[in-house]
Amino acid sequence: MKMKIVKPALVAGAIACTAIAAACSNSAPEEVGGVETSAPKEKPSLSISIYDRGNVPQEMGTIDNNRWTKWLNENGPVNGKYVPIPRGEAVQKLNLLFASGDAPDVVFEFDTRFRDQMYQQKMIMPVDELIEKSSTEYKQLLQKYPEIKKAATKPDGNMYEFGRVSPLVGFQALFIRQDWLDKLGLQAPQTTEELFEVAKAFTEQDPDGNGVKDTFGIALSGETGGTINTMFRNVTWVVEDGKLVRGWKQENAANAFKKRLYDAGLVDKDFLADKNGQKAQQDWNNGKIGIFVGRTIDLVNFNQYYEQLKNNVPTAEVKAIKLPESEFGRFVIGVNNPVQMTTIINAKTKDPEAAMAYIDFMASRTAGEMLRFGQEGVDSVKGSNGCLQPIDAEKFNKEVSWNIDFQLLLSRVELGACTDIQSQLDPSKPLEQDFLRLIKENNEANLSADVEYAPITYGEHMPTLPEELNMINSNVSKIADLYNKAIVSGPSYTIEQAFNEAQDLWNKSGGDKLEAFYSDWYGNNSEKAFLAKDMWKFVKN
Amino acid sequence: MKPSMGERVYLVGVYSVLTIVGLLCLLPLMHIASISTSSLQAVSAGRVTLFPVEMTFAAYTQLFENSPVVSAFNNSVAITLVGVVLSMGFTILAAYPLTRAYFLGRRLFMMGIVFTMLFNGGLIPTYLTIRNLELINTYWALWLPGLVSVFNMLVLRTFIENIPGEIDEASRMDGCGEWRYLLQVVLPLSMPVIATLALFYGVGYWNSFFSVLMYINEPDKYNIAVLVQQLIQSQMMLAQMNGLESSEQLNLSPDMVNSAAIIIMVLPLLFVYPLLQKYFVRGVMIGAVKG
Repeated sequence: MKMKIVKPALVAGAIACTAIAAACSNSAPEEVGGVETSAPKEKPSLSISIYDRGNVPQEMGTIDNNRWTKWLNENGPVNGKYVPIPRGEAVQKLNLLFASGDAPDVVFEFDTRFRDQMYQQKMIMPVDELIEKSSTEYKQLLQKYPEIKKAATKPDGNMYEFGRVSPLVGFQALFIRQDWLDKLGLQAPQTTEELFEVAKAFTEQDPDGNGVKDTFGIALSGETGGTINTMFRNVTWVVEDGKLVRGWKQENAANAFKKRLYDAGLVDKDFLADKNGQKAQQDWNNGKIGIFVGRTIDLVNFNQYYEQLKNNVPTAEVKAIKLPESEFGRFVIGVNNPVQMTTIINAKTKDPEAAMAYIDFMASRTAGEMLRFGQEGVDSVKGSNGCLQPIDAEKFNKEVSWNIDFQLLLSRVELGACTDIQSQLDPSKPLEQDFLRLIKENNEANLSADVEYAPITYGEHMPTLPEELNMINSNVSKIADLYNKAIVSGPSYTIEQAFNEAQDLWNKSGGDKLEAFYSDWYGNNSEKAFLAKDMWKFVKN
Repeated sequence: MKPSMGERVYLVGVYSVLTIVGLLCLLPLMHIASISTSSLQAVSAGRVTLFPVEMTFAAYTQLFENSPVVSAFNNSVAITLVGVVLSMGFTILAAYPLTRAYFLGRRLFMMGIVFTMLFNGGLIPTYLTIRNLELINTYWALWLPGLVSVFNMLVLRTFIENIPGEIDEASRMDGCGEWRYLLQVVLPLSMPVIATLALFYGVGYWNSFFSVLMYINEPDKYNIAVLVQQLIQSQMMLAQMNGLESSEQLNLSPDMVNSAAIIIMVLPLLFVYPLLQKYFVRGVMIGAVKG
């Protein structure tokens, strides 16, 4: 009897052991995924993180081993081993790698908070000395644009990050249906009051002439709702009498305006259910919204915000206008971040010089042009505007365009106008010609001297909150919900009530600690920090 | 025998409730399937609801050409097949001894096993363990840590415990040994549960996402769940208002491509369900033991 019990246990044990043994023998380092280069032996090795977006065509290899990694290893100073980081969970994966000591030497990451945490945990190295001693390309960039140092410097006074510099342009655009304005005999709105009137006319006077009341004046969801906040400088932290304080007045005004729009029925009643403004975008594409915020920064925006609309409504005429003025001033719509930090060096890296050499190479013109345009004569060819254009769009998609995440150190400001969206549009095609006009209108409207940038600086350059304040910050983020409730509740729940509840929540959650943190920071750093005036040095004239 | 009025009302009620519930499950899937087979124009104008508009398979061609969807799919199949066989085998081998009263230390083992349900080492220690076992970048990192799900094991154990003792006695009388009893009596009788648990394991392995993300660093070993997630997340990141990264000619992004990827991921499971249906029969033991 006893024997009968022992046997199954033994067998089970045996099977378990074989499984584990198989696992161990299976885990010998495999050469398949490794980078095979014909690089000479003396190149130092370096591990580098790279985003994986699942968009590398199968025949091109994988994100960590492909035509571009080979090119970079052959022509660059190091033998790079790329570590793929799935884009969606990048921060989580990098945290794990840092915590277990497996993080790559050079890490590319957009998330400012994450980079800041790595600085606080002493996981990354200060780089002033390294740049001073061994940098070439990047050092020149720093000398040319001293603002980079402002953006890369952490509270201890050292630089910890590397980044890329781009010309400052209108990232978003306030689009309006000019043909509707003409049909109703209206002018483009100059003030928020006029904006309300125009939205009312767009809703009630059947601007598309189909005899049905099926148009909206403006959108409240997505980026359009955000832009209404900008018009009233509702950007949470505003400067008053030289101090940085929470802008309650602005918040009340912006939401009161939204409530007016809502109560007058000039917007989609279900705007709260419209995540990311997708529904509003569809309405715009179908010619059902008169005022809408789109983007003019990428080639994809042409199809997204203009071509589709023209396909559905060939008679549509669009203009990009200045934001209407409110009692708080006249502001700039969303622009890009001209100085964006993207790269850090692991404190544990064995060979900081190699990391620096790699960063120099990635910031160089040679690498930048190659990654962006592919090889001249093979992937692209000089067009009539003197810029390299893809020879065959489909082939270019397959071979080149997925390498965008290798361009996190590519400074477009240095590469020149060929990297702008304007040089990728073809003025001989009427629709693209129109969009070129829209881009121009938008930049003229938003980069002129009579408009002001609403926040004190681009979001990424705001200080990162210490952990304990982060809790408070997420607690008080519910304030937005209170105001949204007020917008949709008609007379039963007013902005006044929302404001009282919001203040209550603010005080209960310890909002004064947040206010103290920001006003201290601003008091001590208003000279040192990278602020709006620094951004405006990158306007392209 | 005609159903009475009351029965009829009852049946109509039951059928309509079930139909509605069934549709609730089916409609979102139909919507996704329609989006994946409609034209970009129709999708971005919001004209697609339950049926494809301007039918095209462009999204699928794009997916097959511009993303490693084929290899990811094959990886998922491999992870799932091997995983289910391993997990099921060891679940049975764990559950059976724990039902035998003469198994010494049964209580102790039970407590040890249930303990793992309540406590685990946490993310970083687990990762370090896997790394030190040199399982990083191998699928063993997916199979071994969760080889036996305690919950599934307990379900199976309870089922085996409910097999009447008379059947056991009868088998022993006929000269059955431990192994033979397990393989030729217990397993056939437990088929419904085994099929169910295999399905649980299968769906789990098919959808394994987090573990792949943590332990696999080579993109050609990613499975379809991770690929789909990357496609969708990339697009969301690009659409975010902060405009951190610009979408300079991202070669794959629109909703239709993402929907196509989702459909490719879900289809196999839809096919597996009906095949397993026949094992979910009850009453295999009816008449096995005379009262």
